[in-house]
Amino acid sequence: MLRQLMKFVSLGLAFGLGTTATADVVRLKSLDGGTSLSGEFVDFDGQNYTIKTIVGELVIDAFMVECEGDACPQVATEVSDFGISGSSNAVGSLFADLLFEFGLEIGGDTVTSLSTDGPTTVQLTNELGDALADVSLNASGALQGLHDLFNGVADLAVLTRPINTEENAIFKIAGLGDMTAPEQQTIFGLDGLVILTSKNNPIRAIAQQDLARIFSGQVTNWNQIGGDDAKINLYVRDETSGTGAVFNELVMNPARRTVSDNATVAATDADLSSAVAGDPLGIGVASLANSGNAKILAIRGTCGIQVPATPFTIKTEEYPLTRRLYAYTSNAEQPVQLERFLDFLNTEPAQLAIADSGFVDLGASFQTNDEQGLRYLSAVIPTDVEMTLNQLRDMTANLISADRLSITFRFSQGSSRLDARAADDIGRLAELLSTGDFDNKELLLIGFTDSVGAGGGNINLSNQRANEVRAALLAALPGGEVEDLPIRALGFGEISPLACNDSDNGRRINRRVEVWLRDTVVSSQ
Amino acid sequence: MKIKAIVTGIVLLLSSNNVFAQSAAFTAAANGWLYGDEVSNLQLLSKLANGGDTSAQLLLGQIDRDTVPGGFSDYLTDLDHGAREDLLRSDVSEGSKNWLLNLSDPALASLGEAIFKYRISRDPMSDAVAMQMHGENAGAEYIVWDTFIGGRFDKVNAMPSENYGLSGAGFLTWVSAYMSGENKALTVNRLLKDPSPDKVSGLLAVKRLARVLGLGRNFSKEINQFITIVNGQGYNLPDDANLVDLNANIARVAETDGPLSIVVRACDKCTSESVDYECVIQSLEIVGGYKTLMNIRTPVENVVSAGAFISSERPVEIFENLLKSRAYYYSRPIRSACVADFLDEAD
Repeated sequence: MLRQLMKFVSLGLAFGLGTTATADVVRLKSLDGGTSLSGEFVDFDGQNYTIKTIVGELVIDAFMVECEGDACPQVATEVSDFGISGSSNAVGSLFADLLFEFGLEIGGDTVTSLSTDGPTTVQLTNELGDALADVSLNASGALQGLHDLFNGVADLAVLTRPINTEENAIFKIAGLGDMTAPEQQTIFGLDGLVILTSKNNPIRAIAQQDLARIFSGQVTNWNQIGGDDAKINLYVRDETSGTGAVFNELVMNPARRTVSDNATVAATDADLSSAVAGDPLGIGVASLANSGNAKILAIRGTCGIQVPATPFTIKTEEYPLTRRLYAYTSNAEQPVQLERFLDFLNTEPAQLAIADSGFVDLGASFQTNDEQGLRYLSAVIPTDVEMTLNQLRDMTANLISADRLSITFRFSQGSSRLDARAADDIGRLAELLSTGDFDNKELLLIGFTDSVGAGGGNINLSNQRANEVRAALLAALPGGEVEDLPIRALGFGEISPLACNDSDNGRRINRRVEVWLRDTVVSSQ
Repeated sequence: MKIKAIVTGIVLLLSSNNVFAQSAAFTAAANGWLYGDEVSNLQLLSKLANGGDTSAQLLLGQIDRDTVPGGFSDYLTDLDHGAREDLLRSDVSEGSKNWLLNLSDPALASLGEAIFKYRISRDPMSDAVAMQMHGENAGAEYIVWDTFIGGRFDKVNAMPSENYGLSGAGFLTWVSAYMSGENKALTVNRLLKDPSPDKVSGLLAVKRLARVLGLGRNFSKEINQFITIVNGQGYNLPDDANLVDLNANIARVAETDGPLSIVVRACDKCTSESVDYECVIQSLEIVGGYKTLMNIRTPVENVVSAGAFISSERPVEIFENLLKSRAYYYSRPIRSACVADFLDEAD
């Protein structure tokens, strides 16, 4: 018995207990009073405490607890205000919603002060009601957002387009860093530019090549594009807005045209969609999030491929007028609550808020093979694609009983280098797979290319891309695998285009690795 | 160790921890109490206790001290004060004493005192350590788990260094392994493949700290639904919850989880013609979830081992009695046909 007692005592000592005699012990009490932790203080990184406890090292959110004990570090308790400026569509409503959700996430509340002559202010508080930050929201437009960030008036610029090379150069010269670096650029959601008409207009789809002609004023009558004999009324956004800039980048600039001076310029996307909805002869461009009561037209490419604007085609970026939503910071040290907010943007509650606001979230969604029906039409319609019936049969056999995830990886032309969104998507896919319960499934990573180059070489390139994604995914998975979920890389070359290969954007859409979850249940034969 | 295996193999209940020999008469009476008629066997145990049988004294003492671990029943709760004292206590003619404080063998006095005093001081860890010191591991671990789940991890962490191995309690070991592991994802598949009998109590402990540790995103949708059920909050399940899968998962987890096996076995007794996917879910709602199940454990491990008790009929009967008594305070509509039938029969 005595020997047993000694063994237990030594076990207890080995666990590093007897904390009462240790000076470095801290007690962390949650602000809601529901949880108390204690342990030997190890570290504080400005946002989290690390303590050594009976169950190992625990990392605890410092803003959710009060620290008691001599070893407690000094935590900045002063209010860390920050400003958000940029796209009128995104900052005006979406970021107010996101801050509200963020307030709930951090356990406190938000108090909004609306101002008629200045930015809206949202106050974030903790669970005790103490102010953590006053956040100013300035829905001033993309260009003003960058201006405010450059001048230090804002800490976060929100754009519905990427920063361009000239703008980035100005930030670099000023020593504010490379805005396209992952530390300074966050892609937090997606949106689609949609072509709107009144619901009374009989047209259902519009050819992509006609868009530039219509909005430049070359095509002025509806009967030139299959409609009634009536004048076309144009509605656009200012070119400094995100909507205007992306429309120019994706539609007008490639056609070397500019928007007609006769177009009516709306102040916001919501104003534009409202005006178009009420004008039977009107056509306009706005964001999917602000399409209101207007009718959304599908886009038809020159090769005949037609793509509707849906959250799935926007998530996969197959809809040709898809745009990414960007948040930019400078390279200066960020206010601590802004850092927390940026981390929050990638979480499920934030992505739900983005979807609820009418934008398209980055969260993965599934679509069955049945719902991918246009894929097979798109495979046979284009004439510039090298494809055999056997290849199409092989692809079909692999995709039967499979669901496609909206996460799609894209590449630079002719290379297997993943693009800016891909790194985040690798992490998102790894998290989805590691926290999923998959029985009798296998994950297929299927590479495709554009039609540039020989068909045989493109099959090799698509295989290489799929294997590149597989390697990146395995590296991101805890333990380097998902137990019981085989991950297979395949390449089908150019046989399944989702856009016409006759434009840069179309080829970019086609250079991809798709993610499919396939049933592995087989018959007993 | 699978509960089903225990059930099929067990005949006797003798504990591997027992510190003294048990008489054949006690073994028969205790087995009768575990598997057969409660009233007659408690009366037999009472006679044995009055005759100086310390095993019987310990068992009755704890049932008197804290009815739920081992003794919650209509019979006992309906007894009047005098009859209860006659049955469960010593020295009735002199004002009565709980057997735990009046054991015939003075060498067992500190064991009796440790069991009697558990959870009455403001320092639950000292109580737990005292019980652990005497081999009452199930009771000791329950105190630690209950303290942890109650949000007082600081108290758990500050348990005395002389803790007789309590710091290596099953669920704490599970939590330690999780915290030090690279894979933080918590999924149903991971739970099903985990052979640890402490995985559910460990999972609930991690969930308790998930908010301050920022671990929320590591829980899969399915595991969150499993936790919702196990915590007795099945009414909060989303409309699209797959009750078929959830029930199948609970049944599989119950093969290695003693407390959960109790409710599954109770529902398995239902003879309804159609499958009742709400039985386990709503039963857990009514009784108050896993925390209540953890309360149903051997009264005294030195007399009846934890495994022998869980695999007997007694915990299922205790659970059914709790279900009946707590249904009285349950305000939601009864969704489960099995639970409804059971409660109707009980009326």
